[in-house]
Amino acid sequence: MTHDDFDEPTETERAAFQALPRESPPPEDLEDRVVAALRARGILRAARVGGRRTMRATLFVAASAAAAALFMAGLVTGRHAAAPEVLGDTRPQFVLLLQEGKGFDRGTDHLAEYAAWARALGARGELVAGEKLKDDAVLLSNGDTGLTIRTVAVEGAEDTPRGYFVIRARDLAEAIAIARDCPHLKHGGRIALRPIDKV
Amino acid sequence: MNADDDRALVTAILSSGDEAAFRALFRRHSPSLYSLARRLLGWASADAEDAVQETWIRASERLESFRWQSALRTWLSGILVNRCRELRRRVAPAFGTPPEDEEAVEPADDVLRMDLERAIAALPDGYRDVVVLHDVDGYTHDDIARLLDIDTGTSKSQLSRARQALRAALAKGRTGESRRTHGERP
Repeated sequence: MTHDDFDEPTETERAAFQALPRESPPPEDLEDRVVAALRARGILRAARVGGRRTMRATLFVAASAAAAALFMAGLVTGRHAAAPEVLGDTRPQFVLLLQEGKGFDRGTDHLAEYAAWARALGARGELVAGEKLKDDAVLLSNGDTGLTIRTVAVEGAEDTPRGYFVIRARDLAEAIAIARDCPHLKHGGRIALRPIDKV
Repeated sequence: MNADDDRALVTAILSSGDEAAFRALFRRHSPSLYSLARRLLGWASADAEDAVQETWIRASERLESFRWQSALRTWLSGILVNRCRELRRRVAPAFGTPPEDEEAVEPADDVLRMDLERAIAALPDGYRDVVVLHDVDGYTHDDIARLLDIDTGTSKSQLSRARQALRAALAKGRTGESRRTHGERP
């Protein structure tokens, strides 16, 4: 007698097992995370848009180059860099919040690297905006005693963004692939990647 | 599920790193891999995500060596099972709760399903692996022997013990429920 003969499930048991779901949808972003990991390993290549460059693409590259130039100006002078919008570009946008973390190396020559990276993004049509943020912040809150406004120093606050980029990417996987090349990571910083929720 | 479709997608991935083909393959197999991972890991969702992600990465790295001597799903499940076993060795058990709203079922069936899911989740790892693969996912003892790197006889004996343990757990649950219904202490 085998174990199977000895221990066959009853019809009720069999039906109970058959009623159990055999599939459950994984979290929505898992696919993008896996794709990003495989792209990083060189196993997958991002799908390219083929054919001739269209007017929209030309406008897009020009606008992105302008954004890169504005980023440079903003990065060096601290001025705001407005991002030109490109009509018809429906790709999702993502914010890269640059945090310093404990091991961040605040070298003085990093700005040129960040600017070069931003220019490359702009040339590829992936940059919307980017700025370095100053160390001071004004905190506004509305409590029981009314509006309170106070200046706070962000020096030493690991999670406080010290700069940001806004990028365009086809999906989260592509945004991760872009962010992983940011020089900020090389210098020990951290990047919080947040999809922009267009409302 | 058409095995030829799997082959076509795998060929596209291997020949040109075709991302669209990979995404199609991912969407085709991930729901069952994720379900299997959650059961094997006692419904710890974060670990199940890790298991599925790592399964796809390992599978993609070895895809060229896959010889189609089994179904692609079986091969992927084997990688997943190994990853789940690694995770169980590495981390303390992080049992979650079986979901209650994944399928529209009659209330009585729902109670039975939840009881069965909980009883499966409470089984020792070795019993759970075999009963999930055999009784839930429908793998044969030969498949299970290959997937778990055990012999067929061990798979059969583990299944027998797992079923006995499940019956005991479900009977105990029913007795407790009956006592509670009649105002007795469990």
